[in-house]
Amino acid sequence: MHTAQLEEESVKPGVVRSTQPEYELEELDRTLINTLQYGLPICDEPFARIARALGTSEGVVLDRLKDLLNHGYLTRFGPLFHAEQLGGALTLAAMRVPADEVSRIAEMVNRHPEVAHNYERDHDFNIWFVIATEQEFQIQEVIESIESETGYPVYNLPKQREFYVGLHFKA
Amino acid sequence: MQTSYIENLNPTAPLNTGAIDPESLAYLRALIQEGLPLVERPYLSLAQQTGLTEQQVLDQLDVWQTEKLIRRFGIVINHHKIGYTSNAMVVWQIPPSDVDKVGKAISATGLVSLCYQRRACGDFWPYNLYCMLHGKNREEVLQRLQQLKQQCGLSDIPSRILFSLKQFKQCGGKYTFAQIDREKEATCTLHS
Repeated sequence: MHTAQLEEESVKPGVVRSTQPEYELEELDRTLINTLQYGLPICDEPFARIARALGTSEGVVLDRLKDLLNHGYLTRFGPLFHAEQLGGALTLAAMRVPADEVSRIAEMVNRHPEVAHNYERDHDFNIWFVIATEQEFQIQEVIESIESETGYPVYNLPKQREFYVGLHFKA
Repeated sequence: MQTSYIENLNPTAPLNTGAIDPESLAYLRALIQEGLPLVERPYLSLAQQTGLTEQQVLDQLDVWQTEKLIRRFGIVINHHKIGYTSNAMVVWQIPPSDVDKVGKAISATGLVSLCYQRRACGDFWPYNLYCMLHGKNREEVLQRLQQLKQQCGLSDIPSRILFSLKQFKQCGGKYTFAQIDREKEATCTLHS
């Protein structure tokens, strides 16, 4: 996810970088990926600060980050807000349907715009999806609607406590 | 590689934002959710677009972080692209009085990407603690699970492992509030 502004900003001229779809990560890319997942500096010149910490220049850091975004290694660059605190509601829901029905039922589930995404998992509880709505009561409405359309129960498994969120992946 | 700036991300500077009008704040929040501009002074750029000063933007971000309105302030990686193509949701049936202890122990191992307590759902789905394990292949995920069981003494705890087989739907949907889209994106990342 990046802004139009980012798309317009191409790699600086004179910097020889591959623009092939398959972009090979170099050591500096890996270091950026491995460190910036833990936070971005909030100061007037954040990229200069990153560059100093990594022993490189601000221009190089910016170029590398643009490349990583353009090649799809990064999906976001910036803050993620906490939806629950902004009034949004979320839940995880599961269904148990016969194996030969999975595709058909999943399609019906997916027609609901509130279904954020949907996975088949290898278990008798085989359809797993996230429901995201603006308000809490709408979660139940979506669930009831899916149940009546498909004829199968939807199990609502709301989050009660968050122990750990650390989607940090070593490149 | 060690980075020194991480420690200085959120200095305990005075959080006096002055009187910022709510409209500018809402605009700032909407703008920043599109991502931080990749320019030398990204916060100055946001300030110029919202009619705030650079310092006001910096202070406001500190406030939002302190208030935990911002969940994460970093880059989000496409983990499939860097090779983490296998994921499993592992669910545990933990006695309610132990959930706190076990949830913290699992989180401390560094082996899981997330750990949530969720409402159990009857006798056929009695699982109340969920974690997500990622790996470059199934074997790696199973190894991690084995390590997790050993480190946290979970070998005898009823559990299920659910590998993802197929993604039916990408993140999508239409919402009035951009915030929810952003959170959905985060959630998708968390569960995918």
